[in-house]
Amino acid sequence: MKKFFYTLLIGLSLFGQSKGQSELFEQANAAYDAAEYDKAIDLYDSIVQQGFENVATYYNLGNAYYKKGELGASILYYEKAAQLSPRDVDIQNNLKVARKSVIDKFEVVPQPLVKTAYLGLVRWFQPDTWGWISLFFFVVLVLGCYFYLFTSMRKAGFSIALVGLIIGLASLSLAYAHTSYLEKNVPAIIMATSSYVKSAPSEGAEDAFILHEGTKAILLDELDDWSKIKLIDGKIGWIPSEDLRKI
Amino acid sequence: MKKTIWFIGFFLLSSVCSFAQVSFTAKANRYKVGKNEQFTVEFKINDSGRQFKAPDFGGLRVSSGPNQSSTSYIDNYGMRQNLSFSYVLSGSKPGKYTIGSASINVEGKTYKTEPITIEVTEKSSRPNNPNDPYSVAASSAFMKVRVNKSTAYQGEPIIASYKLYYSVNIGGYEVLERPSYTGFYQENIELKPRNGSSERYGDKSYQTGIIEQLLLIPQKSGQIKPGNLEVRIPTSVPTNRRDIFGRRMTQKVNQTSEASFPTLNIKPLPEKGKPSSFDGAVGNFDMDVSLSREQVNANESVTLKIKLSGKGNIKLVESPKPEIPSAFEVYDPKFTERVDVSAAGMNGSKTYEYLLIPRYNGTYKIAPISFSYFDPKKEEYKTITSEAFEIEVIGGAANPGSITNTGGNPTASKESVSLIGNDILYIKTKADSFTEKGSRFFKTTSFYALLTTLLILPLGMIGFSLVSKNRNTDTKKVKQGKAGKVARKHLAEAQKMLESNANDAFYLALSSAIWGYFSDKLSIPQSKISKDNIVEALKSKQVEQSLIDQALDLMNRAEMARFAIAGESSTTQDYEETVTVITEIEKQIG
Repeated sequence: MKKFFYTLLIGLSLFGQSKGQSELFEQANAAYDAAEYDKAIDLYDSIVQQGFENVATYYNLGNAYYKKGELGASILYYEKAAQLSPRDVDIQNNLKVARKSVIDKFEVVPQPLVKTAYLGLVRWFQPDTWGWISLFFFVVLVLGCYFYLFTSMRKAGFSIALVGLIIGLASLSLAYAHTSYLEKNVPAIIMATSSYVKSAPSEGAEDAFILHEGTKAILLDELDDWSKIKLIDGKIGWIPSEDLRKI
Repeated sequence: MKKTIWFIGFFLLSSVCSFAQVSFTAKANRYKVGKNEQFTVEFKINDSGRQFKAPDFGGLRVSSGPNQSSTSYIDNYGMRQNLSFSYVLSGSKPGKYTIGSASINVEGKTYKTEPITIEVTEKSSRPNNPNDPYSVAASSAFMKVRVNKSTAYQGEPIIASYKLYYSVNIGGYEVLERPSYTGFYQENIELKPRNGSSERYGDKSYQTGIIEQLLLIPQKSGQIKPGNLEVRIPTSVPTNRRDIFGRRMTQKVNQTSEASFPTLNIKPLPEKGKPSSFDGAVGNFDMDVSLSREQVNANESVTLKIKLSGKGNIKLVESPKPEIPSAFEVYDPKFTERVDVSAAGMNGSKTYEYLLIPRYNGTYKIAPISFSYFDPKKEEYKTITSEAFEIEVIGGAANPGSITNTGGNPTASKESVSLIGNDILYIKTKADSFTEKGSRFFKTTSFYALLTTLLILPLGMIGFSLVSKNRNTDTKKVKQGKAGKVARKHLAEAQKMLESNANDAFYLALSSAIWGYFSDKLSIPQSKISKDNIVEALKSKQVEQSLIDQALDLMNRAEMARFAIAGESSTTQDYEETVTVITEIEKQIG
């Protein structure tokens, strides 16, 4: 559904431009094959610098950084790719491999089953995709109304309209839920090899714990050069913003 | 007699006096002392008290006490007793300390002492006087902490020794405080019975002895100060007095010697080139992997032995786990450890024996086992990899899990398959179309426009259908619209009659068609309809007079024809004429 509309709307309008990006992409792939990871990174990055993105570019950037041994950056780009395409098997595999080298290990706090299931549903599609789904079902609603009002297939039309309305409204609210979830849970990756997390946003504050490159955290707040983060196991602390990058 | 009375008076007086004079006091020999210097506090009562309750010493260390002593004497008032309880105290940290009240019970009455304050200072309150027995003692017997290296990698063993230096006779020493080795793995080293030697320190020669020795393995990196060692050394100090033989007399000084642990610089293990199989082993190791036999009958056991040996933090090292094919039953390994901790470091071996029992036929591989360690001398990581083994199992059932037995490497489980893959997958060579970064559709204007359109459309449709339903309920309009249709329907009946030559029925149908048509078209109920009001209505609707006349004529003829027999030709003619008239009126009224 989403790809179809993208090819239709954006693909057509950006056809001329996307040729240049494709060339850069091909060149970057060639550099990767030749194990010139720095060059590959530069080329992939130039695509991003031009203001374009797609799953393959982020994924390949993650690969190149991994080969170069920059774990934090590698995980950052895999996560970016995974945000665009949450169920891509390749991305999930490489993320798993990269995370194995991350020093910090957490005991994941078990969440209530209902909450996990709800979040799983909300995050199943991107907000945009949920938006398109809701629009599709509102089209179904329109068709149902037509059949109900103007043809003899009144019963079928009514059911179609009802289904369209319910699913349309549900996916619309899921789209809103996902947007607000993303606004509240800004994920970030630790980029510094190791970084002390403090109990307050100042150099003199007491060290709460230490984090290492590649660990994922949720960004809660920002103050001057400090970021308040929360870990998967619920620990909270302040970290210098330069040690961190938003996904 | 007089004498007796005098005596009685004297005893009475004495007993009265003795009751009145109970005093219970606390007294220290010094109120200002240096750190770890000992002083005495004495609680004294001049009567026989009971139930002495010791005071709260407010954080001061009690070295000995309560030491109870009592003296009895007889004076003019009779038998008297003095009772004292004394404590030897010292403070380990500078500051002011308050010794609380002690209490005692004398014949049902409780007496309390006043609290006293002791000040403990950083430096000895005694003047640094070469003749002072304490400073003489400090220079003739003291402790030092020695380490074999002050810079080490995390995980590299360090040997620390507590060394006693003395040039005079000393008594039995007592360790008061040891450094706190947080962040270290710590193990005591058994000392050799004779480890004394003589050594020059400064410009004096001393006898030395190691009183304790331990092996430390740093668990974290950084500049670490483990703290201080404090040892009390009773030291015999020569005095200026001489005994009757002319020998110098000595004085015993209970001094406390403090030695600080040297700062250790613990370097973290380098991240560069750290192998994936590295699990914290630091030192110099060797691994030997052996298999008891390579050909085995099913259900007979094979032993896989992994022996790690070497020097370093071997006690903290775990052997790598071998990957055993699932066709084998594996038991928990038998573990033996032979580790020797000495002044030379930690040395020894660890052996893991895995008992494997094959259940199925076939040739199975045991993948090479890798063990990595960090060599602090060469400052690099090293990996030992064992050879791969092949076990041939004969005489058992075929392995249900494997398709071909000859292929022979059925791995333990699906989970371990995914864990073997330690490299990332190849890049994506085909890219979807590039989208503008951060371009979103949801919550944009175009999204809201589409959403509103799609939600308004059904509302519009409902509205539209409501309006058209309203029109259906307006009977007049419907009837008007249907007038032509009704007339044609009646005329169709008339035409049927015409074809079947039923004259009478034809005219009946024709006339009812015309009447019905006018009734509907002009909105005149059937009960009220007459030729007059038809004419009137038609006129008001500005229908041509000739057409009205024609219609009237037609109606008259149809009526007459029902009763008089006319020629056959006229029926067809009348039908044609009716159609023309109705069509014409329809055109003019619209």
